[in-house]
Amino acid sequence: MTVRSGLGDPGTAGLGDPGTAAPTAVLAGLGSALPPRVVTNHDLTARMDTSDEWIRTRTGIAERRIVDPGTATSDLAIEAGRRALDSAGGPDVGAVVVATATPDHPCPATGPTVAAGLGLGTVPAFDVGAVCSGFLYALATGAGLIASSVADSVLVVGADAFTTIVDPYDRNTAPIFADGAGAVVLRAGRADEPGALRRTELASDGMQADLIRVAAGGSRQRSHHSAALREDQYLTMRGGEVFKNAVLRMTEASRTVLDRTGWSTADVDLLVGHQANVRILHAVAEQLGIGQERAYVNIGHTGNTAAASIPLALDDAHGEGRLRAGDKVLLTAFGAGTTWGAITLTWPDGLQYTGMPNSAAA
Amino acid sequence: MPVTAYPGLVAFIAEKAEIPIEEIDPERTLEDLSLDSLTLIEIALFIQREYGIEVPEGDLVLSQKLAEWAAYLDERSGR
Repeated sequence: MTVRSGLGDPGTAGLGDPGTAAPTAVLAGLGSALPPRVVTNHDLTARMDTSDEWIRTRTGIAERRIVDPGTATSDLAIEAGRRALDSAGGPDVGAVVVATATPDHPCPATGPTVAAGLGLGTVPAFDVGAVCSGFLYALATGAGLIASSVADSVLVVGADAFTTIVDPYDRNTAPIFADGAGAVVLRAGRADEPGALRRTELASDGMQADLIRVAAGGSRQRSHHSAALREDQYLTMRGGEVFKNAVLRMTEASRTVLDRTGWSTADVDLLVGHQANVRILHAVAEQLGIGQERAYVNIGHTGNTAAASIPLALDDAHGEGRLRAGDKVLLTAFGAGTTWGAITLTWPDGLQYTGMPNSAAA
Repeated sequence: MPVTAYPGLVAFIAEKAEIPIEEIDPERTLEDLSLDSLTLIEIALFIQREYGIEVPEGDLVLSQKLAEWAAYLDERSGR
């Protein structure tokens, strides 16, 4: 049974009574940034036992972008944030939420640095940590700030200099992960207008915390007050289990959120999944019965950029003309934690495209 | 109700290997078809969705003949 009106459906709830209805978050700006240094599969073969064919067939990745020494997550986040603000047509937002697993420093959060770098004054700014699901968690957080009238507009950034926690000589992880940032501006609006975030499904399973993990650097290791082993400073991943869980969890969250939105899989104009691996994306599309032509893939030139991947994919898809006003869009992600989720939204009317990201250099 | 999963499995594998269905021989293995370890997971997900049979990791391996897979699936589906 589907509830079509009343509190169960923000699509119609309280529309006749804007005085009491909680505002809905509406997508109003979009931008992204990639660091300038390109690393091809061929470059990787020089330092590890792998091949272009092996990487392409198992991941769909041809090249990725990597930060230069000295570049931090906030540098990428500020560039993407500036583009998103430009796209929204105004420099001001009421809050900043940064999803990242690679903050500039263990303390403090990167959000305030991003807000200051964008000249946003003393707005509330903080980080959300859900690794590769981080952008969806941050989007839900930003929407919550709007719904509760804490802010009437929010800059939500997904940014990671993820290669800083990946062993550059590990053939299981180094070919996959990369760096980048993507950002959106959310503003208060109505649930029935193009660009509205519709429904959100988020979940986690901490019993799987060791599926994808960096052993050292946090309080568990630092409480010893001795140096960490080299191998403990880098990400380890149980690839096969991650693959299977990612497909099952993204499929499950997508089905749930579609059902709650009142959309069928046939209604979805574009599935924009976390760009972890092209074969995961295709398997999710297959499980859902969504044709591959409706499953967006840009991992070939970005690699897996963790929290940045969904907004980067949205920006690329928008730039390619793949998204039109009113299109029904399904976002889904799975990441370390483990965490996963899915969000439905409609594509806004007249969203400004600020150009293909090439460089994070200021 | 028991099902024979083999025809569906063959169609799925042919698509993954990008070869005509007629070229899939039960005496061949996934290795013969140049399929990789991720394909094992893709097949397990396919079997779970299509036939409701959960395939524990390690039960099916690349070096097994497709005939052995078919026997395994028939057994697991209670045939």
